[in-house]
Amino acid sequence: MDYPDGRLFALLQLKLDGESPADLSEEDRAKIEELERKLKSQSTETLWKKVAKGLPNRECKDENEFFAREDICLGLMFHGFKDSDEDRNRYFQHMNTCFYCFELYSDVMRGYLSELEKHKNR
Amino acid sequence: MLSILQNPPGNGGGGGDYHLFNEGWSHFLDRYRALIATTVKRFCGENKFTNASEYNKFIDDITYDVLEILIEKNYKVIRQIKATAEWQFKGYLFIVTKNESIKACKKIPPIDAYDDNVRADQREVVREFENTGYQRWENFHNMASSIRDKQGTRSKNRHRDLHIFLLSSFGGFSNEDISRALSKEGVTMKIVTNSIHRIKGMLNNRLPE
Repeated sequence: MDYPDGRLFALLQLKLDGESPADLSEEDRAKIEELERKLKSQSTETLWKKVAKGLPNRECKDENEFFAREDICLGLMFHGFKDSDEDRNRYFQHMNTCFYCFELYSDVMRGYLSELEKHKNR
Repeated sequence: MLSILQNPPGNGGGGGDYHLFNEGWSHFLDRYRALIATTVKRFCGENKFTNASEYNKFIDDITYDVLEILIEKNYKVIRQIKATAEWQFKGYLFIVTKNESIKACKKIPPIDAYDDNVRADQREVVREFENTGYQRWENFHNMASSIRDKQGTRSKNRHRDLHIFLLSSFGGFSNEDISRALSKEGVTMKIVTNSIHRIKGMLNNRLPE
């Protein structure tokens, strides 16, 4: 299983915005392309189904259960829930109940925001 | 990247390229510094320290200890890692950092002496729990559940407000970062400020006069 990496998500965001940094390593380029393929392969509807199916009602058993799944994390960060208030509420509720997912999400966001900040300061 | 780090230049190494190798290290630090810091925080809580700068220094020290373990004896450890996927390497880094954190954390004297009536073996159990991030887990749940009780079930946005508040107070994110992180969910700066303000107001009402 691939763990979600906020830094790579930020680089993907930059690529989608047409601002991809020129000095990326080959390894990063390959990973970003792989993420882009994964993102395009899942529609918002597919993501909702995945989230609804995978979202535990209580706290996860360990940190590998829900948010650690790269496909879910990627979809949540790039698609969001748009108009589905019910799914969004269930997601927030889980994040407020599950320490592991909250910590992992914070970790991913830190990496994501710091990479965007770094790009802004270039 | 790992293959570049596994091939250090000179002195019995694999004769790798200096420039590539240095670049590899710089990528390594960019990529994994946050993972190391988060792991240290998970296994040694801030409550062991009297102030934040002391804690940050502790995190820096552990980061250097971990790097030292990786590079000692001409990068022996790095060269021996058999990880074929990044998550395996991250797992390895997590374990080294966890062990170093717990080891260093045990050496820190407690701020307040434990109750003399508590037996030595019980004290050890308490310390062990604190070292393994249990404290942080408990703080998270205490904070979330006490706010949840106060919120009641009427407000439509209560889950969102609580999430925003936890990101701010527990996760240490700025209001601007939170609104950027949740922009896909329609969360603006104004919503972030109002949510935090609302919950702070609730908590202040609970404090004794």
